[in-house]
Amino acid sequence: MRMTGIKLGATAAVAAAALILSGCSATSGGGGTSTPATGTPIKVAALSGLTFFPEAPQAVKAVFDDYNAAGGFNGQPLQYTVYDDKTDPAVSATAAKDALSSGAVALVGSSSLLDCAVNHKTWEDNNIVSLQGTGVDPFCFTTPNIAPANDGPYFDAYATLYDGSETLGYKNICAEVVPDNDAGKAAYQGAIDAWSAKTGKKLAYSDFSLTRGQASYAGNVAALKSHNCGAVMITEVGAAVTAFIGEASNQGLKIPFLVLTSCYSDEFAKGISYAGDIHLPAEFSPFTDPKDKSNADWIKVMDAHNVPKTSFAQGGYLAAKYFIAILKTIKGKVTRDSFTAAAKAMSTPVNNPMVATPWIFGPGDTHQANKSAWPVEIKKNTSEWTSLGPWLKGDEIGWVDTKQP
Amino acid sequence: MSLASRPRLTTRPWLPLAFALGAIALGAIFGFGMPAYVVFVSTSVLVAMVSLLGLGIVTGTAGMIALCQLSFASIGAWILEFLYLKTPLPTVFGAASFLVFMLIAGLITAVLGLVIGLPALRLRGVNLAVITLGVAAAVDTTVQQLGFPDQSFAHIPRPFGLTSDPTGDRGYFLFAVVVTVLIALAINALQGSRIGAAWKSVAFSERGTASAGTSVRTAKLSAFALSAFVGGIAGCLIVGQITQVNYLTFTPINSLGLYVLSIVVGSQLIDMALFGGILFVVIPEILKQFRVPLEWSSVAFGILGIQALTSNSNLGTGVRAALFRRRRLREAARVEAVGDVAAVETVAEAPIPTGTGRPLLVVEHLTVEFGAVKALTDVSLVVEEGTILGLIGPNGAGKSTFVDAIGGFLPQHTGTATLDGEPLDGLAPHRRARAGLRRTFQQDRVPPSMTVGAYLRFVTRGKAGPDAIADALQFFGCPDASIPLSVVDVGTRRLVEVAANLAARPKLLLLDEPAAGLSHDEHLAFANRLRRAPEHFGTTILIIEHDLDLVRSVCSRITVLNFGEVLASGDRATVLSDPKVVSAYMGETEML
Amino acid sequence: MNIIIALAVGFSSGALYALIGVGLTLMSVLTRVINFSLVAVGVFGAYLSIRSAPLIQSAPLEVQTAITVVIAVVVAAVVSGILGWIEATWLSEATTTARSAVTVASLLMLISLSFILFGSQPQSLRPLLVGPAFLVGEVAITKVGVAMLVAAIIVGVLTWIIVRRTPIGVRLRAVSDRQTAAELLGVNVKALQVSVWMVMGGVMGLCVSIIGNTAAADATSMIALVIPGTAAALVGAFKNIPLTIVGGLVVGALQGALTAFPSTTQLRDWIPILIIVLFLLWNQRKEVWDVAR
Repeated sequence: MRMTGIKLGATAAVAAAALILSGCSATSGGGGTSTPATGTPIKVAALSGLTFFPEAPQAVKAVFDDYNAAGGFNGQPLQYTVYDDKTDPAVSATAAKDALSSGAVALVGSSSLLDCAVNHKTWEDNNIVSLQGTGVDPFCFTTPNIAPANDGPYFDAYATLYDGSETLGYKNICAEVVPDNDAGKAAYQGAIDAWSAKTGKKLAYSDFSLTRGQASYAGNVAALKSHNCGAVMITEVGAAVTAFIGEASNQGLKIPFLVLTSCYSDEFAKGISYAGDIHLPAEFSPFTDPKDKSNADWIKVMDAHNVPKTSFAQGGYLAAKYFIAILKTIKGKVTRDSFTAAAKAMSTPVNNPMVATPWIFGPGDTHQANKSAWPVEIKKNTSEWTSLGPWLKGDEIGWVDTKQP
Repeated sequence: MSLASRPRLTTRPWLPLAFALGAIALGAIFGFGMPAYVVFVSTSVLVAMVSLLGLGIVTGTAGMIALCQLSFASIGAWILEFLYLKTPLPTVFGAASFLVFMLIAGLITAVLGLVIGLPALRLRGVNLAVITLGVAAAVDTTVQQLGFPDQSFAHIPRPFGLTSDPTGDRGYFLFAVVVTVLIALAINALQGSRIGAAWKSVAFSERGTASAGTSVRTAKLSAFALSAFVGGIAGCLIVGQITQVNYLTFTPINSLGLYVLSIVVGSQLIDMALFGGILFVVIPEILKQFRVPLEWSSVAFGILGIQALTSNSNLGTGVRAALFRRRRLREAARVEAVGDVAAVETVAEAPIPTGTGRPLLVVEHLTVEFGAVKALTDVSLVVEEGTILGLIGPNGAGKSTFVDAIGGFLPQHTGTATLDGEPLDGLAPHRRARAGLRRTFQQDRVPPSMTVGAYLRFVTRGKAGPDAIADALQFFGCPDASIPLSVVDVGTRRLVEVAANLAARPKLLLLDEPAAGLSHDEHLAFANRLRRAPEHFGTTILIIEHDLDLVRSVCSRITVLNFGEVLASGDRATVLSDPKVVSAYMGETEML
Repeated sequence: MNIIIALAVGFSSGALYALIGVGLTLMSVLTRVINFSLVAVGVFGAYLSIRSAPLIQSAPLEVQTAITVVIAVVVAAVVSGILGWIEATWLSEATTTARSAVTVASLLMLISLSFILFGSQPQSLRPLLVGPAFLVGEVAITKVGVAMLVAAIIVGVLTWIIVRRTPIGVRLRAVSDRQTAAELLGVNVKALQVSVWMVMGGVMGLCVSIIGNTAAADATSMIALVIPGTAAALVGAFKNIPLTIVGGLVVGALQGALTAFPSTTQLRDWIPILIIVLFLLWNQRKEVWDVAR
C-alpha cells in the first residue's frame, strides 16, 4: 500500500510537471547546440511518420549539424526539431500546432503519409512553407505552401509503368495499388490514365483493394494469376512488397515486378529472393552504384552521422540543401514571413547532380519540381541492386502533373 | 479482481452534482488560462478519459475483457462524419448538429455493441475478449478500405460554430469538459443503482447473480452496450477536436493499450479514469521531450498491467484503501459491536414452524449424471408450505447437487420439479428466482464491492423498500445497510446473504450450509431466527446442514441422502432414530 | 476468378490458422488460459534471430539457417516461459479471465518492444520453404501450407499420445483439472505449466521462421494471425483438436473463396469473426455453468 502511494505520488508529480513543461517550453533539445555559431538560433521544424520514414529528418539534421559547425547562417545556428505524427491525423494536427507555437520559420524534411493533407491549410493560414523530404499524399504536390524534394509516388508509378512498357517491353501489366483514401486513389488513377494516354496501352488488371499492414496477400496474388499478367506494378512500401513477392514465390509466380522508390535500400534487396526481375525508378541518382559520383557528398554526410542510406535520406538531404540555398537569398532578419517570401520569390532553380530536374519553389499554386527518376533493378535470383539508367525525365516521358483532388 | 467500494455518498445525494459543477468551473479556468497547446493536448486527455470510463464499466465493474474500445470510437466517428457530410441533416439541426449527431452516433454504436456482445456474453467471460479482438482488427481493415467520409479532404465543423484557431480550441475544450462531466455523472448514478450492483455481482459470481433473479446475460450486455455508447461518444469528441480522422487514429494496438491502462488505474472510478487519461496522453508527451521512442509508454503500461493483475489490485483500490483506511477501521469496529449485541440477545424461543400442509415443492425422480458418475439417483421429496425441511447426509451425498439442480444450474437432469403447481423444468436459474425460488451458496458468493444495503436492493430486485430492508437486516442481526461488504467477515456475509434472500419474500428458500463460519452462540441465535422466518417472511425453507443440533432445532421434517439416493424421509424424530441413518453416519464426527 | 485457385490459396493460410488454433486449444486445456500472445512470442523470437545474421555470416547457408531457426525457437520458448512463470507464480488460483488478461498485456508489450527494437523496416525474415508443393496449372498448394498442416497434425497427435498414454500426461491432466489437489499430491505444478508454455512458444518460433515474411512482415501480424487462430480454436470449442484443424482450414478456405469475388473482398476480414460468432452461438446453445463460477 505504501508502495502504491509512492508510485501514485511520483506519477502524479511527474505528470503535472510534464504537462506544464510541455506547454511552457518551446522546443527542448533540437540540433545545433554543438556549434561555434552563437547567434540567435533559427528554428526549423519537421513532421514525420517516424515509424515509416525516419531517415529524411535524420538526413536533414546531419546536414544542419555540419552547417552549424561551419559557422551557421552568419553566425546563427539552425535549431531543428522533429515532431512524430505517427501517421495519425489527430497526432499530426497536434504536432502542427506544436511546431507553429515553437516559432519555426519553415518546415524542412517532413516525411509522412498524410501531413500535407491534414495540415496544408494550417501552413497557408500561418504563412509558413514546408520543404518536404518525402511527400506522399497528393496535397504535397498540389498546394501553394508545400514543395517536396522527391518525386512522389504518383510520378514514380507513372515512371515505373512507362519504363516497364516502353523500355523493357512488358505486355499485359497488372497493378496492385494501396490507395489510402479517395484522394490517393484518384491521384494513382490519374497517373495510370496519363500512362495509357501517352503509350496507348491499358492495364490488364488493377487491384485497388490493398490496405496498409494487410496480414496476407495470398488472395491478391491468387487473383493476379488468373489474369495472365506480363508484369506487376505495386505501389506499397518496402516491407509490404517483400511480403507480396514472398507470397508470389510461394504460388509459383516468376513474372517481373515494377516497384516504387521506397524499396530502394540494401535491406530490401537482402530480404528478397525471387525468380523474376524487380525494376524500380529511384527518385534520385543511384547510391548503390559504385561508379556513381553524384552521391559522394551525400554518402560522406550520411556515414559521418550514422544515417541509414535510403532514398528517403537522399530526399531529406536535398531538402536541407534547398533550405540553405533559400536562406542565402534572404536579406535582413530571418523570420517565418521573410523565409516564405524568399521561397515564393525564387527565380533561379537549384541544381544538384542527384536529380535531373533542377528544383525551385517559386510563386505558383502547386510545386512539383522533381520529375526525374533513375531506373535500377534486382536481377532474378539475386539480392542486390544494379544501376541501369538513363534518367527518365517527366517532360520527355509525357508526365502530367497531379491535379488537386 | 477486487474492486473498491463506494464512499458513503447516499446520505448526500447533491454531492455528485456539486462535484460536476466544480469540475466544469475548473475546466473553464483551465481552458482559458493555460497556453493554447496545453489546452489542445488536454482535450485529448478528456477523450482518453471518456474512453476509459466506458472501459471501466465493462472491465472494471463487470469484470470482462473488452479489446475494441477504439473500434467503437471509430464507428462513432464514422457515423458522425457520415451524418455531417452525406446527409442533409446539418441544415435541419443547425448549430446543434454536432450534439445531435453525437447522440445518434452513440446510440447506433451501442446497438452494434449489443449485436457484437450477444453471442459472447452468455457465460465464459473470456469469449468476449476473443470477439472484441477480432472486431478490432476487422473494423480496422474495413475502415481503412472504406475510408472515413472526410477522405482526408473535408473538415468536420466543430459544435456551435467553434473555429479551428486557438480560441476555438479553448471553446472546444470547455465543450469536451461538459460532455465528460455529464457522462461521468450518468455513470456514477448507474454504478450506484441496481444495474451497477448487477454488474459488480456478475464480475464476482455468475451463479450468485443468476440466483438473485438477475439474468447474467442482460447484466453483461448492458455493461457492454453502455461501454459501446460511451466509446462512440469518445470517437465523436476526437472528430470535433481534429476535424479529420483516419483509421490510424483508432488502431487495435491503442485499444489494447487503453484496456491495459484501464486495469492499471481501475477506471471504473471516475477520478481514476481522469488519471488514466492523463497518463495515456502525458507519458508519451514526456517521452517526446526526452526523445525516447513513444512505444516505451505502451511497454510501461504493459508492465504495470501485469503487475496489477498479479497483485489483484489497481491504483484506484490502492488509493482508496490508503485514503479510507481509517474510516474502514471505524466501520469494521461498528460491525463487530453490532455482532456482539446480536449474539447476546435473548428473545423468547419461537416454536418449530408446522406449516399449512399444502405441498409447495414437489420433486419427482430427480436424476443427475456426470458421465459415469451418478450424483443423484431417483430422488423424490416434498416440501410443505410454511415448514423448514432439513436435507442431511454425509459428505458427497449429493445435497449441493440437489440444490444446484433445483436452482437450475444442471439443466441436463432428468425428473421433474414443481413449485407451487408451476413446473420449474426448462427455466433458467434467474427465471426460477423470479418465480419465487431463491437459494444461498456454500461458497461465499456475496460480492464485496458494494454496501450491504445495495446488495439487498439488488437481491430483492428493488421490490423491498428501505424499511423492509432494515427489517430483514435487523431480523438476522446483520450490519447496517450503509456498511460496505468488504469490511464484513465471511460468516456475517453469509448471514447477509440469507437476510437478503428472505427479504425478497420468495416462496421457497434453499439454504446451503448457512451456519458454517458462525460460533456456537451465533448458531443458537441463528436457529431461533430461522424458526421465526417462515412466518415473518411468508417463506418455506429447505436447509442443508451438517450441524445436527441446528437441524434438530429448526426442522419439522428431514430427508436423508446417501450416495445420491434418498435414504430416509419423514418427520424429525423418526428419521433421526432410523437405524439406516445411524449407520450411514458411522465414522462421521457428528454423533446423533 | 477461378474458385479452385482461391480455395487452394485459402488452404495454405488455413493450415497456418489450424496450427495456431491447435496451440491455443492446448494452452487452454492444459494451462487454463487463452494465450493472446502465442503468435507474438514466435514473431518476436524470429525477429530477434535474424539479428544474429551479421555474426554468422561466414558459415555456409544451411548452417546459418539452422542457427537462426534454433535461436528463434529458443528465444520464443524463453519469452513464453517467462510469461508462463508469471502466470504460474501469481495467478495459479485466478480465473481464466484474469490469466488471459495478462496475455493481453504481454501482447501489448511484445508489439511495442518489437517496434522499438526492430522498427517497421522490412525484416529480412526469409521463409524457409518457398514455392508450391503442388502446382496443377494455376492452382498452387504452397509448401508452407503443407508444412503447417503437417505440423498441426503432428502436434495434435503427439499431445494426444503424451496426455493419454504417459505419466507426464496424467500429471498434466491432473494439474489442469484440479491444480490444488495435484499440488498436494506432490506434482510439480509450476514446472509442468512453465514447460507447456515453453514448448508452445518454441513451436510458434519454429512456425514463424518457416513462414517467414510472407505472413509476418511486421509486428501487427502478431494480432492479425492470432484472431483466425482463435476462430479455429472456437470451432473445436477450445477442447477438440481435430475440429480445430478443420476449423482453421474452413476459415482459410472461406477467406480464399471470398477473394475470388472482388466485390466481397472487404468481407474477408470478417470471416473469422463470423465463424467465432456462429460457433459461440452453437456451443453455448445449452447453458453450461462453469464449475467454479
